[in-house]
Amino acid sequence: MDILSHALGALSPLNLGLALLGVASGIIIGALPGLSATMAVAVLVPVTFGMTPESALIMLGAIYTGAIYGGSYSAILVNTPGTPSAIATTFDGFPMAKRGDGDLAVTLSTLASVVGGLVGVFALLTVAPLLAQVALSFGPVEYFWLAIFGLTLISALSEGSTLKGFMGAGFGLLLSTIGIAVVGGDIRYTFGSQVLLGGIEIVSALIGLYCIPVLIDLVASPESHLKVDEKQRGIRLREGLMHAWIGKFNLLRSATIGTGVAILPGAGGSIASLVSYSEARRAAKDSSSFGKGNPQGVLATEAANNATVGGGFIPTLVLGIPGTPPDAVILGALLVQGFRTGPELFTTNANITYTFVGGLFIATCLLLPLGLLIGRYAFKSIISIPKALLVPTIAFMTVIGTYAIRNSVSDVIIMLTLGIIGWVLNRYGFKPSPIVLGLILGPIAEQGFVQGFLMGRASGSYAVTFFGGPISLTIIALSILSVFYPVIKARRAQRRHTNDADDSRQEVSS
Amino acid sequence: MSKALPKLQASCSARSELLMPLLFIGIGGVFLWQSQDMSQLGAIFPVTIAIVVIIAGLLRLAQLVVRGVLSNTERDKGSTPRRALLVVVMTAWALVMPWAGFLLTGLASFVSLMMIAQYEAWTPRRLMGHLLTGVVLVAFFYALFALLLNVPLPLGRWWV
Amino acid sequence: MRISLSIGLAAGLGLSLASAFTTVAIADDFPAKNIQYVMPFGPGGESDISARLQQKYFEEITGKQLIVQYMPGGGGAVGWSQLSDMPTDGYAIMGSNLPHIILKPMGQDVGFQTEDINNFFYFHYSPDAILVRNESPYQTLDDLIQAAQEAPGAVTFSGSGTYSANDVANTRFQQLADVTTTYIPFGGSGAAVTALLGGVVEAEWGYTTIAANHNDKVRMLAVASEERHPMFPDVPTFQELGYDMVGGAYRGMAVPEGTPQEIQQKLSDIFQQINQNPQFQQEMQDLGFVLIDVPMGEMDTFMSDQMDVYEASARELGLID
Repeated sequence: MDILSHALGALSPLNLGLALLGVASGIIIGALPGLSATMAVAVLVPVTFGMTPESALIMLGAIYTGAIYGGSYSAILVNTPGTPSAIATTFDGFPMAKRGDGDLAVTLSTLASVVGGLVGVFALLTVAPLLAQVALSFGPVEYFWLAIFGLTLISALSEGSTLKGFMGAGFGLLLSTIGIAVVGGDIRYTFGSQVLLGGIEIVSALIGLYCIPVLIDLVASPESHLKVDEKQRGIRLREGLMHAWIGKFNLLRSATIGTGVAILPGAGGSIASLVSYSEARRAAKDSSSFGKGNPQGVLATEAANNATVGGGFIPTLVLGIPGTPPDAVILGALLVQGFRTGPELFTTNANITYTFVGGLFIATCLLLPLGLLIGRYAFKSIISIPKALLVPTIAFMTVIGTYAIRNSVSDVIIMLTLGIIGWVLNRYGFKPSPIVLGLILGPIAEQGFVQGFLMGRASGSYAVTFFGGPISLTIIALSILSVFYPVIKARRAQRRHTNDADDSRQEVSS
Repeated sequence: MSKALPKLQASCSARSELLMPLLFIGIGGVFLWQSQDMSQLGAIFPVTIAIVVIIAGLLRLAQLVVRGVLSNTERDKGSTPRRALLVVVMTAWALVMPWAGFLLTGLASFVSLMMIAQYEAWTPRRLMGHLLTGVVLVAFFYALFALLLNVPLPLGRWWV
Repeated sequence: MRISLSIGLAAGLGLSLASAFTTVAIADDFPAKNIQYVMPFGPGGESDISARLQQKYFEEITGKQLIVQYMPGGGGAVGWSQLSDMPTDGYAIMGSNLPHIILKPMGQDVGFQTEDINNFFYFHYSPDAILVRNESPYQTLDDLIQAAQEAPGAVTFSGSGTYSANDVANTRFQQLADVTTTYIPFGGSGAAVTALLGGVVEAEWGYTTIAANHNDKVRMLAVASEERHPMFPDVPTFQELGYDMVGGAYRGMAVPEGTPQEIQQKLSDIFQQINQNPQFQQEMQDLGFVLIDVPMGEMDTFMSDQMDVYEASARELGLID
């Protein structure tokens, strides 16, 4: 009954008010490209020192939940993922917005985020210690294979030529090696520039590769940014609920994948949403409509990335190993408040733990009304603002947002450079997603590989190290399946309508 | 894999479609070349990837040559000067920001970008309205970042 | 500024800005506003956590806030290479870590030199330690050394980074104990401890702080401090066991070159005062830190001693030529 009493404790008017404030400001901060959940939480930490531990935790959880969700706005409305875990939201969210369904996409993202968030929190509450053990069974080799699996999603994600996708991903992987190497300590590919010593910051790369091309094309024509359908206004909740009901399995599957993958520190969020996206696409009958504005795509990624909030706290709270950077900030705040991770979590520290989980639960529920309200406002302002103001505003946000990541003008210059490269490559049929995927997965793959190599040398057998574990073998099998599934599917489709003048998509997978 | 295969559709011109793999092969080559004086642990990953990129580039070239390319005639046209201007303004903004400070460069770029993105004729009323909104937006973001989020925005070395 | 004001920027905003420009840093009423504390690392690490603890007391003493910022990248190189560009009024300070600021610029150009880091106070260190899982067969350091002697290279250690405190400690340990181990670098101490807990490696080069944080799952075999840590009275020091190893990760703060001496002294005094607060001392000890006091006056001696130690060991151990 402890759980209940602490959850009720979280419901005091003051705490509810703080949760409301936290979620609302989190949504706004998350919606601005470059302003991350990490920053929102970090700024808040000193403020919480003056509060009771309960209120502090509720507020931190609320702002984090809000910020992860808010990232979907910029992904849907301006094609810019605010965090790596919102990349896949752009795939269908932005096409939906372009054709005039931005309001529906925002509503769908809200519904999916609530479902995903609740699944994640539920997992945190019920099976956290068990899942934490799973996180521990992932060693360097497993991470290496996981990154390879992530890269195989390219074949599913690249529109047009798969070879182009691989070239793009390779480019991203090469970019990821720039800077001082963690393993080996070499300074690589900085070409004498100090700016590149720290490597390419992922969020600034995201802003550059996704948002700058949109800006460049936005000024090139007088047409409005998003198509506006005068008849359809409002939040379109009924329609959204209908899509959510059709996609109920999709939602649950994605939230489960999100929670499951998020427990892996360091890899979680971005891989989780990509995996659930490609799973949703694989399971769908009309898989070719994914990437062109299929509502199920938005549902899948948003359910997954909000599930990572609860999922990411599992290793953070149980093992003291933060799953994501915002988790790390919150863990720091918890330590300062005198909280210790480990087995005391559900005994000595039970009151703090349950209050925190209760706070996350409340914050997730608050997403629904607040998200619909703020989302509607965000959508309306994006469509009603004239282009001459929209362009400088977005440009302003990209520059200040990139600068704020680590207070560095160099990052702004890197962001712009990548943006121009991204625009050129996009024009010649190289999409940004494989490049970004390479950039994100590169360090995971490289460190896993080199660490595995060192382990193999110590143990005397590389083969056993890399191919010995059941988890490794499972991921390898999944990777092979992921590469060849499109081929098999295409074959099957080809057999079905033989000699039919098929569209050029057939060559994609050949 | 016989002659039934249609020609490949280029994203842009047929020639550019052939040039792009060459570019990637070149990038792979540079990364390969630069890895010479790295330690074994540091070089193994980029070398592997560079080789994969080169192979993918060669395969793509072969694919294009064997199957032929169709130029994309429906690619979108747009105002190239405006595109270029946007890039120039944003680059200048980033380069001048540490010297002239965030507020000044922010406002200047805001106004320039507004001009670049405007297609209709300016009326005094529209201009004033836009300028005013611009100033309010810049002030809002400045307040949000500098005052609320404590981001130390560059004040400008020329004045400080 | 004139232009922006004339356009009609909210007057209050402009005024507060103008006053920020004109405030001449006078040591007497320093700090007159909040201080930016830039971490050259990401959140959640030991530097971050100790800064979070200092925050509270800083506000008690000065009435102003200590605002923690993160500037991660290149194992600290990104932050330190930008230290010289930061304002010299004392309102921007940066975390400074040993041996990082000595080892990083050795033998390669990382955008800063050790001398560029103008340290004003060093406040604590976390001693190096060898950690194993609770269920590990190695009960003592000798067990581990014996295993490493029987099969050279087969005993694996995880640790944070290459050319880092952990890397140096491992190389030094190999020499002192005359064994060969395999050191596997990870992206940070979080990843290194995950590898230990998950059974990927036999042991970890870590710190007392890691043992304090995970004390239900790991134990230490030896600590590289001069005296036993009060939290772990049963864990012997390396010196007790006959290996001359004292070291760890030291943390302090620095300001850019050109910051007035009085301001630096004032900052040094503030942080020394925090260090003397018994409540702070208790909190730090509970987290496994060892407090030290290296105020501005003693900094030069402290630094040149450390330089000698690390330069000698780095040279001797072949990390640099």
